[in-house]
Amino acid sequence: MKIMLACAAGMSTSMLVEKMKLAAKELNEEHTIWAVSVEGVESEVDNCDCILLGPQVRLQKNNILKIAKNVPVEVINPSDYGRQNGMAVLEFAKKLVTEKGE
Amino acid sequence: MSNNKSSFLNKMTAWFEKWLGPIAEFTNTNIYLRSISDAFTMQMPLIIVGSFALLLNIFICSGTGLAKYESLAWLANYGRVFSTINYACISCMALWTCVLIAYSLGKKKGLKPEFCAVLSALCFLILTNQENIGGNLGASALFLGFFVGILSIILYGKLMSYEKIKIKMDASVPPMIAGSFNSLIPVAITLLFFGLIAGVLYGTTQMYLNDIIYKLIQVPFNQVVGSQLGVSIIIILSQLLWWTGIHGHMAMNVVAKPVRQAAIAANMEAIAAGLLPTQWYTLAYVHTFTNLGGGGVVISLAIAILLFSKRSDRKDITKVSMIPLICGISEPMVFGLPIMLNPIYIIPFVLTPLICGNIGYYALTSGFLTPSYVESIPGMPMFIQQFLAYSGQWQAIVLTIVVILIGVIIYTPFVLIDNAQAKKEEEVSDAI
Repeated sequence: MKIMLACAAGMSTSMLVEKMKLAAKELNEEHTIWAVSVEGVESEVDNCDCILLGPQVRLQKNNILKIAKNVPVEVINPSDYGRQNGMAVLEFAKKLVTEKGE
Repeated sequence: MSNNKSSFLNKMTAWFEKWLGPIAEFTNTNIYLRSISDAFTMQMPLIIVGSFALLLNIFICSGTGLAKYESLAWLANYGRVFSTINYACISCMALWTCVLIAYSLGKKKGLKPEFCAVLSALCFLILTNQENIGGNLGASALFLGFFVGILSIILYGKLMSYEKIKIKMDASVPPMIAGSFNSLIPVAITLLFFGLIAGVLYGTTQMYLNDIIYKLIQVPFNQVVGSQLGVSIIIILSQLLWWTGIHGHMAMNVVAKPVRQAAIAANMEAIAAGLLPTQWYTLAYVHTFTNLGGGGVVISLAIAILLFSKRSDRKDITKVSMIPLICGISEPMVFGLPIMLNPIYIIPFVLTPLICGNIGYYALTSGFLTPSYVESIPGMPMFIQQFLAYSGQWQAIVLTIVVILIGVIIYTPFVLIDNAQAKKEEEVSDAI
């Protein structure tokens, strides 16, 4: 699964990305997870299965939805984001993609 | 009691969402403002490289740098290695801003972005004093850049939407050729429109458009937004937004960044001319006085918690947040502690950067610290960041320590309140 995270500059999400990669390893699953700035979403949108936004850029969700076409977009739960809970966010992403597939 | 408190909190949150929400919403969703801020983001590497070129020029090729030693005096002949880079990046910044705005706006409007970029550059040059092009592309034309980057693409986009003025080609003509004919009339009208502005204005008043935009809009705007009061208001709004969990710095950039961009360029020009820089409101100021260790000087809260907090949950999240905080990333604390919607921390969260920001203002305007002419690099660890951005002034390091200490002093009482609150809640739950 290809999971793209976005925040203002892609800095704080990139820390969460590392935590999510660890979680994926723990589950023995193969995922590509990376972080971009909100401006960078557009150029990589065709290459991902879901887009997760940092809560601090949640107002951008409507903009991102427009460019995301069919890719699901959701805001990460603030508490999981703050506590850098990679496992919870990974599960959240998986749920998002399966729900979309159904 | 706790019911009262939570209803107060709900009211406060509702109030913020009612008044601040629309501001952030507007700056986040308006496509013109977003094109401007996208352009600034794309331009950031140029500003950093341009300012470091100036720094290297001073430290290597100038009379106060390495070239002052007799055996290295020959270095002075090679200043152009750096000054040319600085000229292209900084003294032409308005042109690049204009081009990048047009690119990103064109993309949002579904036009060919590369072509929009070139078209806007043409319009920008049409409006510029062509007898001194080289001297008119810098920071003083920044607002002209905004104006042209947006207006040229609005006009061109509008014209492209009228089917009647497109020259239709036979279906057998290759699409690439048909495409450029399609846009021939819209391009001609767009350029003519800007030619008319330039020509009529010069014909009637002997002035160029930027003479008017600069004096009537850019200077007053910079003076109001870049004043002590203006910046204080930016700090307050930015922190209140962060408190509701919205990236306040980014939301306020729409008004703040044009001012800072012009300021850093003016400071570089001053240094290059052998004068002292005078513009205090730069990114280095933000990184040193208001956003040191995360927007709101959160590093100080972290230190206060490690020293005085009796709550293990607070301490745990603080410990894992330390390294991000040192790099200026406060999200783990904002959302994890959380500071977001936490009634205890709203006061120091606003007050600390406000007080430190004003200390910074006095330090920079009194001459204790010389304003920055090197663009500060986001994400750089603290101290190194301030040392570089203030081109190695020891005062910057002293002030960074002062800001952290003041922050700890302001945050500590609230950490104690937090302790007391937790104790009270514990007692209540024990009683039940």
